[in-house]
Amino acid sequence: MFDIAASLAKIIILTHTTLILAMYMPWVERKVSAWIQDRVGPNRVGYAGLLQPIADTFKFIFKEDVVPGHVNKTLFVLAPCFAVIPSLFILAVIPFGPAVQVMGQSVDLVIADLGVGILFVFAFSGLAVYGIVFAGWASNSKYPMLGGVRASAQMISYEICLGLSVVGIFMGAESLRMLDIVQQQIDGSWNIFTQPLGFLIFAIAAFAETNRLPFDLPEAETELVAGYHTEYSSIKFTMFFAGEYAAMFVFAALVTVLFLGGWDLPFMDSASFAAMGNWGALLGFAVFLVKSFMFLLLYVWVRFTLPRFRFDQLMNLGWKVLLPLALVNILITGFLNLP
Amino acid sequence: MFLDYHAVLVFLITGVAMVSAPLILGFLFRPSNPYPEKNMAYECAEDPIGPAQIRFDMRFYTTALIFIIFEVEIALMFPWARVFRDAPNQTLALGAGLIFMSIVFLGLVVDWVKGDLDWVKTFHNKRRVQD
Repeated sequence: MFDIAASLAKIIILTHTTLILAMYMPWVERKVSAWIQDRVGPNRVGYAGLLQPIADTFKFIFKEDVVPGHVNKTLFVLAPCFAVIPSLFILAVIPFGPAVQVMGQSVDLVIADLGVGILFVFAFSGLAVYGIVFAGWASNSKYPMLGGVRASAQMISYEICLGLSVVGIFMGAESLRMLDIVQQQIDGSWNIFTQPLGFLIFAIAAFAETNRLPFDLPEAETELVAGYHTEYSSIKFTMFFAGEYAAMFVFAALVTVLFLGGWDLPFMDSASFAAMGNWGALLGFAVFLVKSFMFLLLYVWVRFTLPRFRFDQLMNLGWKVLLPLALVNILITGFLNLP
Repeated sequence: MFLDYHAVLVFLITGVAMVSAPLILGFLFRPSNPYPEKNMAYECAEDPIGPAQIRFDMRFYTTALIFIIFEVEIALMFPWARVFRDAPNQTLALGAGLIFMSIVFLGLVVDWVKGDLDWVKTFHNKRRVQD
């Protein structure tokens, strides 16, 4: 009973954190882009436009939902759900802080501490392709079709690089469990220092997996209108939007856990976190959030700095550069780990 | 062990509920006023010509095939990396992994040389095929 209550509490904390972040990331993105381009950005609804996301949400709910007559209705409704649910699920295995003490029991701040941790992540990030393929095919319209086919080719290409770039971490941590990987980084050094090449490949592949600039070809506005969600409106469009930002947060959290040491601070170890009791857990959660947010800001920064790739450049980068580099990274790690 | 997956199940139910809640909310409150022009496929105000669900380029199929092969390789690399340090003879383990990786990589190199990975076929290649 205690375990069920604890996991429910953790689910509520983490899903709400993600949804609030997914809701406010567009606001942050608009503000940062305005700052980069020397504009003001949203400033009408509430102080500094802070109520803008809430106003947008209400507007999306009350707007008419146009379902064109030529679409495949079942898949058309299913597609936005498939765009959100997989990225939410990956959160289940992400540890977001050191253990807390509740009623004399120690509770790990991870929803499901699975032994297959990272495999679970790849299983569900693979499912995310379905949302886009369904949307592209079910819309029965040319722009979504092109966007959907492109997106599926892009996502499966970069999933390979994503998978191979983390193999080096397991050789060091000797585990696929996320908690073990974080613990290994707390005891040793962060994986970004021991696996710099792996981090670079993972970060680039994360940009491609979340369809963000410079890899946002599936929804390249200048040629495909809006790509796979051209025919979507109202709340279904919002769900694609929220799904994209939720996926961004999930990948930022993954980078934090796999490469940036989770909740680790350079001058603290497990004992000093434990000495602070539950305040230590809160501090750890805050550190985890700040690190993830830094990576989210990197997404925005890159979006307003780099132009979009061409599709052949994108495929070349994935198959001819990143994939061989990821294999070389595994080999180097293997040689360095020899006794 | 069981409880871990139990938490995943609870998470699944929460996730589905969180996705369906806005859909149902929108269904209850939004207006509905469809008319023929609104229901047409969006093509920047042009009348759509022909069906959209057409056969697409073969190159996507090749990409998907290479993807499946490499995804299987990843599935086999994960356990290999997990037990790498525990192996009684690590040099042998690294050699085995090296052989396995090079076999799969050889397949990629063959595709690469044959030009299946080139998204833009060069004019030179085309003319050679015509000859």
